[in-house]
Amino acid sequence: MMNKAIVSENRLLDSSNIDDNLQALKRITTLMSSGVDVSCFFPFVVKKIVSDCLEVKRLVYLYILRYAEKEAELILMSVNTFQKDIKHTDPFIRANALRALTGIRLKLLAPIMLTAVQGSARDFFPYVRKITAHALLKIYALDATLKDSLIEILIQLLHDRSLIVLGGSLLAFQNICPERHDLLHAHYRTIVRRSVDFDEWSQLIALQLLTQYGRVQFANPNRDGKSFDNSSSEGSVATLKALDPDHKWNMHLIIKVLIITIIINRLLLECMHNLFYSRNGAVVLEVCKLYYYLAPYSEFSQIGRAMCRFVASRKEISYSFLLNIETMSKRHPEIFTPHLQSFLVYTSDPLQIKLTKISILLNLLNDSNVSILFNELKMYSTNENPKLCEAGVQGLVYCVSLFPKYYKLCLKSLFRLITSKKEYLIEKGTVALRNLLQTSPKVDMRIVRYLSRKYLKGSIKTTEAQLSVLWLVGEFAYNENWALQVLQTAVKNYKNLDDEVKLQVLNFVSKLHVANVESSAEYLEYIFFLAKNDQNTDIRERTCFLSSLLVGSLISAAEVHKVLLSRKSVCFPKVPSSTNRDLVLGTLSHLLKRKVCGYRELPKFSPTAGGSSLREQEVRAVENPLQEEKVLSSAYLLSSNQHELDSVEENFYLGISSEETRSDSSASENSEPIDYSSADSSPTERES
Amino acid sequence: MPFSALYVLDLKGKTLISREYRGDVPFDCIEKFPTLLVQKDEDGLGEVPIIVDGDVTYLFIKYKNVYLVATTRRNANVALIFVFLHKLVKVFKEYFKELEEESIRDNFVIIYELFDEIVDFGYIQTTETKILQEYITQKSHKLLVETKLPMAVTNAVSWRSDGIFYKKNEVFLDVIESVNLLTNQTGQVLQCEVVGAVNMRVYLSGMPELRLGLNDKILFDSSSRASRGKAVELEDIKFHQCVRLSRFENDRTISFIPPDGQFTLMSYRLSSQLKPLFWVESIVERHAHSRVEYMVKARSQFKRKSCAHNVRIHVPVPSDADSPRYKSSIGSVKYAPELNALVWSIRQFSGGKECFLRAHFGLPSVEKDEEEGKAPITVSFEIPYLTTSGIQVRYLKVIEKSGYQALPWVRYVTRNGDYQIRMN
Repeated sequence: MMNKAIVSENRLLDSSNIDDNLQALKRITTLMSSGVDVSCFFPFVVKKIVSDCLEVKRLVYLYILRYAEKEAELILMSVNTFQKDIKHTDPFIRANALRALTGIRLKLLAPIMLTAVQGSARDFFPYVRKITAHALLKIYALDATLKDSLIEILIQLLHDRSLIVLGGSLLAFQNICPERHDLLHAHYRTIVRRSVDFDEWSQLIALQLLTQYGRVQFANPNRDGKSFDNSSSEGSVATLKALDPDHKWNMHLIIKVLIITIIINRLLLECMHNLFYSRNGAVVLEVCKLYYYLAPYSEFSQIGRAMCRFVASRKEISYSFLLNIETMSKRHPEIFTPHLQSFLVYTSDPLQIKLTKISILLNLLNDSNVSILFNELKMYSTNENPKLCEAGVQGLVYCVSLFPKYYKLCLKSLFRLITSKKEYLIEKGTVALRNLLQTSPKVDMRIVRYLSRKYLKGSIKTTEAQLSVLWLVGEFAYNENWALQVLQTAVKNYKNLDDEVKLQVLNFVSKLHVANVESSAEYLEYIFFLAKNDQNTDIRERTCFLSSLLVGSLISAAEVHKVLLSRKSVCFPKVPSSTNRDLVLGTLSHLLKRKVCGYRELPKFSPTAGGSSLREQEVRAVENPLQEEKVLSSAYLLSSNQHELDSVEENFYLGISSEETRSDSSASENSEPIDYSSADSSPTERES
Repeated sequence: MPFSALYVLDLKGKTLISREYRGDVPFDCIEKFPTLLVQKDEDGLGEVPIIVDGDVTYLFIKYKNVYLVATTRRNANVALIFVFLHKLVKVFKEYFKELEEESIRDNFVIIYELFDEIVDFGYIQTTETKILQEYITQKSHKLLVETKLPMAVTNAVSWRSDGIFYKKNEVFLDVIESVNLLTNQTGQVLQCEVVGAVNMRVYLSGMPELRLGLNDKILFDSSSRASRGKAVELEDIKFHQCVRLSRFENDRTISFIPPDGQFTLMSYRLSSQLKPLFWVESIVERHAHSRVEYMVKARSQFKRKSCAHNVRIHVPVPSDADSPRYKSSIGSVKYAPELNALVWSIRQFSGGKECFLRAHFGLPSVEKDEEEGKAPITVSFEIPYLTTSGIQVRYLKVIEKSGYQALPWVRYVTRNGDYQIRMN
């Protein structure tokens, strides 16, 4: 059957009719894309690469990309055609051929690819040059030894005026030589100013690069916890002075450097600000990251608004935003407190989003919103989903640890949980009560009494809850007469208990024994006897330890008392976190809480921000020197009035932006703007 | 940042179509995906869209009856991949009307070509359908001797190509607002916000330049033209790529060269104190083991002259309730046991009115162990000719070199978003 098919396809491929070829190729592609191995057609398909039909060529390229590694030798035969295609008159074929050629993962071909790329970097069409930029990084991934010659081409491409080429070359830069910031200096301002005009995916690359660049090249705007705008200029002068103890630099130069640094940082933030309006979530997240890592604290408020917009987005996007918000809100809750509403849990949210929202809410807790949040948490704690319920209950306890005045209210709602009929509610409630009692300075004995009564009645069934009750009684109520009753019940069921509970029973009985409770000795003996022969090693070990401690102990009774019954240190409940705070935001590593292959640390701010002069000199070489001079001289005169600085910055770039505005002016040249009154003021309605 | 391979799977996890880009993750690792998916559900991780297995990470979304999966072993940008997968869905929808198993099976070749064009070596190149359609078409086209490279690729305007022509030049503007509401049991409004979108359908020839005027408060204030009607303060505006952001920053004019066909021009949000459009109060009397009674009051709190269509109020009831009896002052009521809810639908609900519903259910004498959680009352509705925010289109100017007349049409609709009222 297969053979027959092969024969018929081959016949079609051999035909001189393009339609036949195409038909066969489409069938092969269909098979290939659904995972069938069609490598047997290789020689016949490769032959068709010489076809003049674009469609045929495309399909052949696709096919070659899929099977090239398997048929290395046959590929070498077609290299010639590739090289011819790369010099084809049709730019589209050139681009496709280049993309296909560099997509072949054969190290053998790397030198050939390099030659091809060298030629096409000077191509007339921007689209081809963009493909060239992409090709660079593919070659680099194939053969890293060619790095130097690749960088040469990259430098050439970075100078390109076309935005799509620049976008592509930034991507290549990021992958080939992200550490070579010296290559970026000259293009920094172009990238920043034109970032709005990039396509969305290039914007992302540009933003990532600028974040990295800014960290290395700019001064920390939040040094000593103060904002950059008002105070740190003095600090920087001091640093510069310290670097230059002999006063070789004159003061003017220092001020010049400083002002330029401020301008540049402002320029970056202001241009990037536009991108907050983007409809692409990934871009917005990246801008927020840039602000988070580079902006002075005073500008952080913008992050909150932009990010909260995406909380109500599609669930996957919303999820990745929430994780980032969670990390940000831990250190800077003030960013998100005005947008508290966005994090309230909707019944229709998926569970994971609900949980993340709750931990964000807990991060945002403060005096003014605690009353709202407490009620919210109370509601979550009665939810039918055990996980959500647990998060709610933990949240309540956390709330009390921050705001002790809510102790009573919290107790009340926990009691409501315990009195319900659902097992998981009782469990979570009991555990939370234990936490709460542990953290409160004075233990309310009535609660312990209540819990133990419930325990005696047998209505506390789950492991966690039993552990909590036993621990509480052993810890706080060993002197009460009902403690023994609790012990009796525990001993009665001992055989059927879980291992963990058994361990707790052992502790419990020892505590009672140390406290000299009447007739506890018999229980002790009985339980130790049972535990010594338990299947579980842990239990046997524990028995051994306790019996040597209690029976015929080497240390005094008082010390034994201390070992078992001293007040335990209080551990405050923490907000559970689903991400790792220290890893760079928005990355997979951040989400998985571990460093994934390819993870790159964000560089620390450099102690001196003197690098700006570099950028400035390069720019001078490229752009109009006269204008530059004017700006600098006016910058001297200005003190640090931000408004005026900004306007200087604007004038500074007027000269360059002329080519951008060209397209606008051609549109507005057009004589009379036509106003359509039908849309004016009174909206026209139409039949739907 | 890059991902290694893309897969489209059916609901059972069988690969429909796949494309490998980098070769650093074994191509057949997708075979484990269905098992991992089941395992994840068992671990109670429910709807987390990420699975990790060894050093391979699967990021996926589910759409209709297919999964779209991207695999990576490197430090990918999570948000980027999710945004991209959703974009991919959009591209497929624009190509094949609908994305589902059938449409994929019918279009293997085109999808494979699209995969090649959209992503290169795991890096996203373009997701603009308009551009993609320039070189990947449903019908195969043959190479002419001298083809022109599609202008869109080289143009300053990447989203619109040259030489579009329509006999009748028209623009349709839809202002659609959806209202999200969340209240707690005591009737306190926790969140009430309006999410609006301006959708356009553009059928214009040539390279038109459009300017849209809204009653934007900031613009009114700056130009001191506040006399003409109410102005609204829009927050969190997001624009389509085509809008000149720098001009908007400077003087708040929304000017753009639109892409051809349908797109969302802008979206915005309003979270200032708004009065909820519909208010629903409920009193539940529960007599354990015998019956439960509901009294529901719904009130419309918008202007009298507006009228809401197809109002549906879902009142959750216990899943073991039986023998329903109900009576309402207006509209029809249906008990939907599959939803565990009472559905009260009112076809026309004009503003400033109140309606009542009484319902009575029997409860079994033997109570089931699990009580269900408290589901909220949800409301769905649609109010034409009304925007909650008060936003209005003041003008839409179309300027084109040839100077043709274009007809702009405007429509306003307010809908429900996530409209939840928690019950006592």
